[in-house]
Amino acid sequence: MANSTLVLITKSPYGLEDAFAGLRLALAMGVNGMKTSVLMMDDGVYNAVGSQRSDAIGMPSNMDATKELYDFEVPVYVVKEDLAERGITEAGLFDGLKPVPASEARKLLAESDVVTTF
Amino acid sequence: MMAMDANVAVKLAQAARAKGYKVHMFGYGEGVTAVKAGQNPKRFPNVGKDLEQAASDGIDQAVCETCFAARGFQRGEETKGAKVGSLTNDLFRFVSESDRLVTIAR
Repeated sequence: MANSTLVLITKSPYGLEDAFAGLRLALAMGVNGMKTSVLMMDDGVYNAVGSQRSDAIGMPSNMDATKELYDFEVPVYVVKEDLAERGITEAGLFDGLKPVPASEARKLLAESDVVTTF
Repeated sequence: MMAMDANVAVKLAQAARAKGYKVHMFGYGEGVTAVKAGQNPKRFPNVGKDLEQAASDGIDQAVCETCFAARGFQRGEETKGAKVGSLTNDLFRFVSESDRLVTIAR
């Protein structure tokens, strides 16, 4: 029986539905009281970009879906090294995200009862 | 060629079930196509039939209704034993009840 879940977001937004699905699962977990965290890594860090405009393509916003998690105290971490590799600065992220080094991400992975990958 | 991820998932699930584990399977995105009834892949394994066998072996199955509908599938077109459900109810329950979780995706 899992008491804590880490939702791992590894895919970029909008071209694929994976990230949005992961964020909705995280919301369901948070709403139902499960200890839940989200970690954006690899191309998943593109979900953290503050200048994203989903309305330009008529898609639901992954930024809004992420911010909804804050109301349920679901922390959203972003791997710093993966941001840097892609030329994304921390100043370019939307508010409320928690950039962490890869070493911290490894701890989050180890500490969670189950990890769901999107 | 069809992606074989779903076939791998079913074999893994059946192997775990044969060892006595309780097993849940959840499909989302393209994964929902695995539970489309009436598949006829001719030269390849029929994952729809394999999933029906897995369901009769006691493996719980659900897929994301939003993903299912997005691909033009109607409720009632799913394989026997599969539930057209949701991430927020079914996957949440599956994850909550599990000690281990395996993701098969590309």
